[in-house]
Amino acid sequence: MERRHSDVTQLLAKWRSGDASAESELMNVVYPVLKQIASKSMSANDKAVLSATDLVHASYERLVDQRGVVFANREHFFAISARVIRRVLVDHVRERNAEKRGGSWTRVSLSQSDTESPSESRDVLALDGAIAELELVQPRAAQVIEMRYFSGMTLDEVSVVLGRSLATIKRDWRFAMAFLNDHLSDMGPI
Amino acid sequence: MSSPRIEMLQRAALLFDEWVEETAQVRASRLAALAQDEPGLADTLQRLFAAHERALEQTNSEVMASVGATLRDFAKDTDTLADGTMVGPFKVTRLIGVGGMGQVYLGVREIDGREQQVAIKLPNRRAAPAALARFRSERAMLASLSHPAIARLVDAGSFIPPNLSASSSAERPYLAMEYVEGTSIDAYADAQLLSIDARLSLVSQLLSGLQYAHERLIVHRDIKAENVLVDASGQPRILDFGIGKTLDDLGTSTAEGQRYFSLASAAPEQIRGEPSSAATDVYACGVLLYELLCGVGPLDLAELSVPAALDLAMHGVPALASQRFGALSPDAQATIAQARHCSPAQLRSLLEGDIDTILARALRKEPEQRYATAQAFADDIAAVRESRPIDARRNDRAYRMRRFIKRHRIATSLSALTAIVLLTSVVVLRLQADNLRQTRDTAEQVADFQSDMLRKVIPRESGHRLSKDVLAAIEALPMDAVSAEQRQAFKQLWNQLNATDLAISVVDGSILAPAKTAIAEQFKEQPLVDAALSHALAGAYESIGLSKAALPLAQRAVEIRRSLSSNKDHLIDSLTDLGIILNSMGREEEAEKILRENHDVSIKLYGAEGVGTINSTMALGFFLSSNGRLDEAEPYYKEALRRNRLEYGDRNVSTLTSMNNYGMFLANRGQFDAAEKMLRETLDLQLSALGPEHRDTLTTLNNLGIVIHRLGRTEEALTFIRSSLVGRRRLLGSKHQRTLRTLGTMAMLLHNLGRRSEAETAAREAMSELTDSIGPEHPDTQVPTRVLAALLIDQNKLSDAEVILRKLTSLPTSGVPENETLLTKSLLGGLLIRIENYDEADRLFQEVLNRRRDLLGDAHFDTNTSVINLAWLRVNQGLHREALSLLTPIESSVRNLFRGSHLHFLSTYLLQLGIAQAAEGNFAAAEAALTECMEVGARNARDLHRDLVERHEAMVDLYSRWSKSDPTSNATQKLQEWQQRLATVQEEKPR
Repeated sequence: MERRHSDVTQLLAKWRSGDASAESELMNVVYPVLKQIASKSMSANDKAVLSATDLVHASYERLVDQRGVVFANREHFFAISARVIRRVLVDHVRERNAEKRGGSWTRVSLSQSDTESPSESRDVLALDGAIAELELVQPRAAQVIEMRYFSGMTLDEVSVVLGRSLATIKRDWRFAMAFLNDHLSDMGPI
Repeated sequence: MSSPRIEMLQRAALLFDEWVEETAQVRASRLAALAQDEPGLADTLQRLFAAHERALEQTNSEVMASVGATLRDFAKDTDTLADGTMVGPFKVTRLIGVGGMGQVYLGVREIDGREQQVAIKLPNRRAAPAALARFRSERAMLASLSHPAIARLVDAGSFIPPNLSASSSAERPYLAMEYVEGTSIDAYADAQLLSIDARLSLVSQLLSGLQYAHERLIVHRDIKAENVLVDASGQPRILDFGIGKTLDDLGTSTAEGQRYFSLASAAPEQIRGEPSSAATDVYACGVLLYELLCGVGPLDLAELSVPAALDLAMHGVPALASQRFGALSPDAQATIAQARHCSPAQLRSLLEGDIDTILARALRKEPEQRYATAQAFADDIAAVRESRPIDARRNDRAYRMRRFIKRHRIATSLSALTAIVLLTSVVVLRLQADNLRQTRDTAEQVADFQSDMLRKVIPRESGHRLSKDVLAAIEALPMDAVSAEQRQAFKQLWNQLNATDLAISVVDGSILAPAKTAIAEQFKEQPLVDAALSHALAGAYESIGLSKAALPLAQRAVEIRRSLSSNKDHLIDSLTDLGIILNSMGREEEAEKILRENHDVSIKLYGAEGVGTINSTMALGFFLSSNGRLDEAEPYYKEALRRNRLEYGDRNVSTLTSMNNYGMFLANRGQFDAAEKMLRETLDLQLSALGPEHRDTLTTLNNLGIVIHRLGRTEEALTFIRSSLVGRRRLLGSKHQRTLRTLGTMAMLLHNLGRRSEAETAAREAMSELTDSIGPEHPDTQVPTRVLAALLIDQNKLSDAEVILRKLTSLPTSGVPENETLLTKSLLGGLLIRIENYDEADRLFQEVLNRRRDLLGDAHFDTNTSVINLAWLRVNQGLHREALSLLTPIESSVRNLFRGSHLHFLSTYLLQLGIAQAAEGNFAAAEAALTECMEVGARNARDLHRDLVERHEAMVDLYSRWSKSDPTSNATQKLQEWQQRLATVQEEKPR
């Protein structure tokens, strides 16, 4: 019942060519590793500074090092990790908000979470919402934002993943930031 | 599907890139210019530039900080259990994996002296106590599954994790499954080089396990190769049985839009979020078998984006296995065949025929067209292995006959069962309501509650929601009310029906009629409940188009409620319903009386400014407008809109409906530009408040399409109508009246664009379905019928067209908006001209023109078309002077109104004008008109060959007269030219 490690490299390749089912399978593989590394580093030192970049790096080592590193795939791993981390964090925040409501269970809708969560997590939800909307408008720009914020990639690395020139990616980033800024400031104070 | 709003944002993105490097002044001036035409776009751009100017660095670091903080929070939440933790009787050995639904650990316990290994599944989210209780009762059912092909549920329960994190609820449920060591079925088959026969055998064993579980009402929902392991003895074992459903009950499925199912094996109904059934597992098994046999999956989902993949999975029909295999490269074929211990040619011929058919049946998009049970699937596989004929291939007629009989059997047994379901659910609710009574003591609230339940079982929208709710109702029944066998039989029967396309008579006969009887009997002594249920039933009938059946029920509800002094709200509701029903049956006077009474009651109750009067105001406005009393209607519309906005704001459903209605009202008055503006605004709000697939959004899409068409931009209109059609098909089914109405409208637009064969297909479909369901006299049926008649006229099949049109005009006109009858008469008049029946045409055209002048005024689009038609007649009658007196005054209106896709009318206008001028000796004017007519005609999408010929003939006629009257002009020369051209044109084949 264990997933074979050789799959990951294949999955990455499939995902890179746009295979949607490979994405969900990758999620299932990457998530446990991320989670374990994350909890390990926190339990070691409560005040540890945990960055997304470090997290992703460590997971990459763990997963792929046995097979030997295929250079091009490394960036793509970062890209998929960004997506995983994004989902994981959003789920986490929503779960938290549900709990804060007390014992009785209510299905939390996105808009409810937005108004009642503490400001940091609120920002993550707002960010998620903004990216989701941006995906409909300029999908590539949305990917750039996702990769920057959720796995700490540089624009250079992003351009490798997306196969576009750095100038193009910079332009995407510029628009995405304006869009994001506009979207986030729309929310206003709680 | 992208909405107008998304498209606008995309354009904003492009412009942003272009302008961002300009100076602020340049940007400002460009924005100002843009704001003239497209204020929405300019506004968005402005905001984006403002955002761009703000301190981006600050935003950047704020976002980074919050992501980091959340990450830390997440990491601190130590959910993972340490090795050695006790979960119930099991000791955790290690974490195996984490899926979308939770974590999986390997665990172990000692039992009967040996070690038992289990896979412990921990769902992610905290479960509610009520769900936990339910989960406990379900586990008995799951644990009882004992079959060689199924990995057993060993234990289930809840435990308290040792390291309590910040969460409040400590108890967590777990499921312990038999831990199976083995290889996934596809890897196993390849490693063992299993032949086709051996693979079939494996899947048969799998199906036997499925059948066993289905008989116990447990559906797997996630059958795929990874979930079927083959152990050392060669026995396939299905993992995770019942998990999907149980976790759903615990409320642990992931947030909306993040369902973790396997796209490749998900059945269409699963993707749509509808309930699963045995047929869903059959589908997934079909996918598995397909790949096991021919080496590739049925649908090629690789390289597709997520939305495209979803779309393909829902609608794409897979190719036959043999064909899909045959289309692979020789290398791929060789590898695959090798793993199946045969040659590519052998493999291909094995797949062709019976195996192709079996797979195709298992993979049908509609659940009821697949194998109804896993056993049936297995039977056909056995037949193939034994070289017997398979069931799936019996000839069509026999199959249809069987289905017919089955359907009737279904209908009769359904009605008995459904009556039971309804009665018992009402009984159950009464028991619950008794509990309620202790806290809320009014009898009315009880009645409310019960009628709500009924409304859930018979919702206003037919379609897949019906299915969902009925299945839920059956699930909710206590064990002793309905026996397990009855329940199972009901579910099986129900799942074989496609609720979306149910024939109306089946719904009526099986569900509504028994409910009616049940109500009459049960609630003889309880007028309140009687009224509530009658009201709900009336609504149900009305929503599926059976107004006649709805009427007595609605009247009953009103009667009862009138006599009761309490709760006037209900009386108002029922009065509104009754008014609407009467109006749709053409009984306008009665309807008006009722609606005015309604309005009075609500004013008395709530005061003129009260919220409760909004609905009755809207109802009156709508009623008046639908009966052509537009001036009277206007104040009601305005008032309703004003109050809706005041009370509820812009994003409320009621306000949006009001806006939509007002928009259509403006359209009725011919104020198309204002209507377009209003409807676009409404649509924008609806898209963001309700979403693109809400029925109200779809209605506005439809209306907007119609208005834009009127404005002459039919291509653009078509996109809206198409969106509405697609959405309605999904939401309401392809046979719903509204869907068909949209189809009829689309036919009309296509005809206008000259896309005649598409128009004909759409019109025929709409017409035949609507004739069957609501009859030929209904206005909705008249639209596609008229399109067909127009198409016939275009094809010169005049007598056929005449038959249709005469039939239409002979139908009763009550309940039909006058607009429609006039259009039909106009079309008939045009036809009569072509068959030279001028007297009758004269009568018709005069009648239509006068009515339109009265109703719509002189400036209206329709009135002007009538004038042109009459002039056309006059020209044919040789009354050229009269024709000119009709045509000359309307020139500027004509040029203004008939642009874009309405060039057809301008072209006719110019032709008749030219001919008349020529006949009256105004040669220069005639030449001008006809030359322009040539050019316009070339641009007209609807232009026919015979129109082209007519124009050439007119030219020839003009120059012939001219040259006779003035031999010195160059008219003779031109005459020869045009005679040549005419000859050429006449020889050409018509388009």
